[in-house]
Amino acid sequence: MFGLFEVDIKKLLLVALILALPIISVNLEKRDVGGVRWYDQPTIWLINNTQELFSSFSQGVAHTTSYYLNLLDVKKDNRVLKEELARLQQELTQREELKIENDRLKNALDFQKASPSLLLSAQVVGIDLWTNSEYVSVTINKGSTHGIKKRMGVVTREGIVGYILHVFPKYSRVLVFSDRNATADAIVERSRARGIVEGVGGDLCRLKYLQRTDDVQVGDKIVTGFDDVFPRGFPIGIVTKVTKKTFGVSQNVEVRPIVDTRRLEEVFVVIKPENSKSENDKSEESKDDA
Amino acid sequence: MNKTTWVVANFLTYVFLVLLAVALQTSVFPWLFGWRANIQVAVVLLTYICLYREPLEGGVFAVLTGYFLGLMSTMMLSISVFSCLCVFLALRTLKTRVYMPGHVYFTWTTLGAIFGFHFFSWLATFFFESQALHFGILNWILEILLTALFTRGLFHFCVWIDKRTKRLTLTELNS
Repeated sequence: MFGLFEVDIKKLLLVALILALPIISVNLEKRDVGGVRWYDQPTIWLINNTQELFSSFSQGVAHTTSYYLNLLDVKKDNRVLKEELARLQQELTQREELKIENDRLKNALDFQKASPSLLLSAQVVGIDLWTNSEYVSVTINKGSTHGIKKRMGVVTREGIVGYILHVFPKYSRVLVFSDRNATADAIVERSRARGIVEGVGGDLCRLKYLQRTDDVQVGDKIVTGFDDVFPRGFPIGIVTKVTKKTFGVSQNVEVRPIVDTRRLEEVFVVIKPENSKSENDKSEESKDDA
Repeated sequence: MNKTTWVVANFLTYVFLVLLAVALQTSVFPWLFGWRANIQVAVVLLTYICLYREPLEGGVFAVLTGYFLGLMSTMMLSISVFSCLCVFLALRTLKTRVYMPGHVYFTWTTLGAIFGFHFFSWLATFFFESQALHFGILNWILEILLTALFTRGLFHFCVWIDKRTKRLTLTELNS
């Protein structure tokens, strides 16, 4: 009878312990210990670092492979983008140029409309062969076929440029006031003293035949006088130097032209100086504007 | 084509080139190289023809060059033609006394010709106009230096044209 209930206590305890361990561990897992347990930390550190190392390596390999695989595409994209960028930059520059040109032409048109004279617009297409010399002239793209004649005045918004020297069918040569051969009747705007402006080359003119007693000072504006070439009172230049000799009846007056020949792009030929626009001319002008 | 036709074609080519040079000098060059000085391509071509052609051809070419230069300036035509003829005579005289084949001689002669052109223009205004031109020697030198940069290239260009138009005088041009 006792044989039936004979149990090996040691074995029984071992089985119970084995069964109890998971139950205990589950129970322990359910408890919140607040943060990482101390014994987990070294393992996690080691694993994480190893993971990172491999991860970096694998990612590096993946990137390198990907880079090589996509290299051709990238190059192609790069070329396309560069071309696109260049095109856009060019377009931007062109737009800026167009805007500047548009503003300039608008100003010129306003000037042409507001001016009492009958004006014909023209573009400068060439300059004198001898740059930086006493010969100063420009070539414009309007000639006898456009109604231009010799000795007609040429002006800009800022002031007088010169007058027509040679006329060809489609071009004209303009003698600029700073040329050594150019002269014009002139008045000192402030004091109304009269003289003759004469070019001396480069960027300078000289106001001649002023009386010694005439009132002229540095900074005075010189304007056109009484001739039938230019609109009256139109700016020629600014006085830069006045010299009175000890003896003599006149004085030397240097004048810097208001218009800078080197920056000339558009000019106006004075077809009729002022207040002489006929109805026909006005209608022609309105046609041109249209 | 016979020889005369080639000679005429060559001459006309140089006339066209002078016209082109004058057009460039009055429109493009000032914007490229500034207003202080110009490259005197026309004078370079004039020097080439004066040195490597017969006197008659050189003289006619000098007159034509002077005419074209005068047309594109307010300088009097007569002064321009006079200056070019003086340059032509000076070059012919120089050639009879001092001569070396090759581009080095050509370069120096060209630079002298540019100076000569300005000097003779000044001289002409001194004698024939009420007021002489300003003796702007610094500007002349600047122009000579600027032109010097292109003279060798222009020389070889002219030699190339001569070859193409069968006008090369090898004994003179080879260095």
